Amino acid sequence: MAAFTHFLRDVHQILFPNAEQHAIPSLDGALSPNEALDHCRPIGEPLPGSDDIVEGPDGALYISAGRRVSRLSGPGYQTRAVVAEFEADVGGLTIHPDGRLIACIAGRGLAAVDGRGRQSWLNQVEDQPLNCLTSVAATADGNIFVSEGSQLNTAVEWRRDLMQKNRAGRIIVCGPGFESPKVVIRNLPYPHGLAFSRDERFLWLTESWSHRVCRAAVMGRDLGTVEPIIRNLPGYPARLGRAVGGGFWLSLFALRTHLIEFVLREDDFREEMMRTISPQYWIAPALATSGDALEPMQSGSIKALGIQKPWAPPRSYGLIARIDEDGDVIESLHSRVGGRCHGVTAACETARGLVIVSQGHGRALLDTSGAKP
Amino acid sequence: MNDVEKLTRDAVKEASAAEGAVLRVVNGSKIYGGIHAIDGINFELCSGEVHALVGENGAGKSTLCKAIAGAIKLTSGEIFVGGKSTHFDGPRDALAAGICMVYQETSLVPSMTAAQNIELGNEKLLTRFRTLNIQAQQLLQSLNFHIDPATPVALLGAAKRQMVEIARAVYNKARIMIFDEPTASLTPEEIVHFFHLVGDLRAQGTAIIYISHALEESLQISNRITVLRDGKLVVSSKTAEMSREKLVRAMVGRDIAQTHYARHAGHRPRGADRRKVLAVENVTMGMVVKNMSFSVYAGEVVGIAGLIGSGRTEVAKVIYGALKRNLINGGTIKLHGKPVRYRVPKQAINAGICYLTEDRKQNGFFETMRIDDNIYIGKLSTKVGWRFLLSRVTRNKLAAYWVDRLKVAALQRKAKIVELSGGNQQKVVIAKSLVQDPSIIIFDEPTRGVDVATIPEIHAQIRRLAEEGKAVVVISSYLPEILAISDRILVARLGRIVAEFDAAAATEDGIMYAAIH
Repeated sequence: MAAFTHFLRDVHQILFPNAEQHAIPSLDGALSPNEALDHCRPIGEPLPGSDDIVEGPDGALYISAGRRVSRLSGPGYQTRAVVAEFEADVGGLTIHPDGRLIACIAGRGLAAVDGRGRQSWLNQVEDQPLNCLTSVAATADGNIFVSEGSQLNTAVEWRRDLMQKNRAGRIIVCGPGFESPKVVIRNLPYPHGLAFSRDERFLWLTESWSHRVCRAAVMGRDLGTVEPIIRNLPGYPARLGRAVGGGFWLSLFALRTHLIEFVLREDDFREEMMRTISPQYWIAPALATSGDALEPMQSGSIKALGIQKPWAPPRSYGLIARIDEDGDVIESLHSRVGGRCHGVTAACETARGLVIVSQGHGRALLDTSGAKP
Repeated sequence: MNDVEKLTRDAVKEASAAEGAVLRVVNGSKIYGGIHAIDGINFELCSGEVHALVGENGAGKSTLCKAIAGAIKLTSGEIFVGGKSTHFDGPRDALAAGICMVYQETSLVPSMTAAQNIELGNEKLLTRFRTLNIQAQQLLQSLNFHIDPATPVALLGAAKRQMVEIARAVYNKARIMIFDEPTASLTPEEIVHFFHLVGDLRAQGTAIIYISHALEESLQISNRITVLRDGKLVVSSKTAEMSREKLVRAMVGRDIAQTHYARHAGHRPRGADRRKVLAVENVTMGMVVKNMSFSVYAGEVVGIAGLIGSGRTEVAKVIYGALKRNLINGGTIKLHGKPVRYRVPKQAINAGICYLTEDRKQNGFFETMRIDDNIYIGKLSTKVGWRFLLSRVTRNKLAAYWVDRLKVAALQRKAKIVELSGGNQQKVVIAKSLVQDPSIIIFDEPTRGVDVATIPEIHAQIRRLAEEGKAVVVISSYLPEILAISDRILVARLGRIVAEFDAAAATEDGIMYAAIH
């Protein structure tokens, strides 16, 4: 079967020699590598499992880390308090216009926590459980849009979802009280981030497995056709955060590499790998480098003569890019192969600077330097 | 023979014997068409000495050495080898006298193998190829040259051809070796090997004349330095008494502020506000170019560094249509966002891409044609400029503009290219390409074999092109050049772009580390 697939692919390339082959684009221009992420100041002690961050109306930050949501406030966001704790890991967050904190809970669904700590839940849509909610956003009129990465795997099994090449994600919309939930878009390749444009005419979303950023027109509690804005990103996009000067901060939690792309093309190899090898040793993107001797080397020697090569094919990488309303990349912050701040999953721009969540490093970082133009 | 001449010759004999000079040129002059290429040169070379010969292009270095190697005859003056006056009728006589010249443009036979070329001129009546190859293999290995002796020279790159030339000189057991720009096509690693080789030859008592434009090399490797300017000997001195500044002053006849383009103090931000003109994505060609990816933006100079064989030139030729990438999994090349695949360079020229070859003598110009005609041919090769009937007015206008803009220093535009110095030849090659008004210009080794005074001029022209909004790619093995003119530096290794440096943060050490590891 695999041979037949290869044959078809080869014939297609001969017949259409100029057809785009979706090669991994090089990191250049505004995406040129730098070490800006490694120069950001960490906020307080580590927050293992940190995933998403939002700014509340009071100017404090709310960050999801493991099973908790913490509130960061005070000078330099050094004061930390747990505002909610759940039975499973917390993912995407947003603050509803009515002040409630809305959180995606792995394997459980969508939770809303009011000022008194009372919780309300959305557990299923169309009689199907919500296992892999990734991101949530609310409009000014209170409607809630939430993305589910995959119906087939849970949030912690995202690697498996990539290796299965699933397109089982969907966008769900419901009212302010989680009433009348409905699926507005289906069969998406792992929608990971949601954000509204400044005028709320469009909902921007990221598709991790197709390396795209798209947008869809918002029509009340419906969405228009999905329109790709950025195609063929060099990494796997995660969440979107609105930038103060216009546009968005786009987090990319890992970079694409030739080896992973190759494995994704080789169906037999991939199936055997998934069947026989522990997921942590798969040839797949990672949020952090463990340093384990069995970790795949991604076809590149990372060290030579005792020097760690920043340009070696990355096992994990840190990248966040600012994009404008047309989808053009304006600037980017990197943590290269030798750096620490890998696996960036979210960012939030506040008056004090850009706050970045590096899940691989397990920390929130504050960039007060030249991140903004 | 008059008494004065006899006295001079006797004095030379005595001096040669006393100082151990193996070669002397006394009052050597060579006249071409009424112009002195060299004029009254007195030159001597001692046994076990490396004597560097430096000067701008057209200074007469090659003429002097060709006379010593028997390739040309002096108009007047004499050559003494081992104290004896000698007259060579051809290079074969010089070789018999133990003088061998390794030419800047190699004199190998492309259709013959490396082993056959090494043996060339010494063939036996019956030659067994196997024995020939084994001998050549042993010689090449002893010199640390990684070349398959059975490979036809036509398939070897410039550096490897140079290596075969050197091996041939060593094979001929020459007592006097003349190296004309031997390191111009070698990588820094190969240069180190070559210097070791020169050291070994010197230790064995071989006398070496070393011609190079790289002044640092001459200062590093030689015992004595002679500077020629406009065919005359300006100074000859021990290397220990010379410095780079003194050399440059002697060569050019004035102080020049710098030998490279001076970078502007404010380094421009990259890419953000510019158009992506060219995107090379996963381009693969055989085993030479493997998954190479990079982009070039309008208004920037992208430098590509790397060792020879790293696929830099080949990917440029793939972009230009001179080589073809793999049909299957060959990757994508996008020009202004649209995928393109050129079958022949003409299509690339019409699309606004031009490539300036690293081997200008072979592929860069028509050497017996005039400057005007060479520039006009560049225009004629485009769709817009093609004419059934040639226009003298257009030709003269174009040539006048480009000769003026690039400061081609020729007495007249009717001069044949072959009569120009290397720097001026390169300027004509540049003019021939720029006349096509390209949007992407790929320079491959733009200052190879170009004199020190012309290098900053060419660098300034390259920067000017970027400032005019063109996308410029510069492929060079000479790292100071890459560092001086690039906005971004890409490093190629084993057919891939392995690293990218911001020009402001790049160092020679960093680039070399990326190129090797």
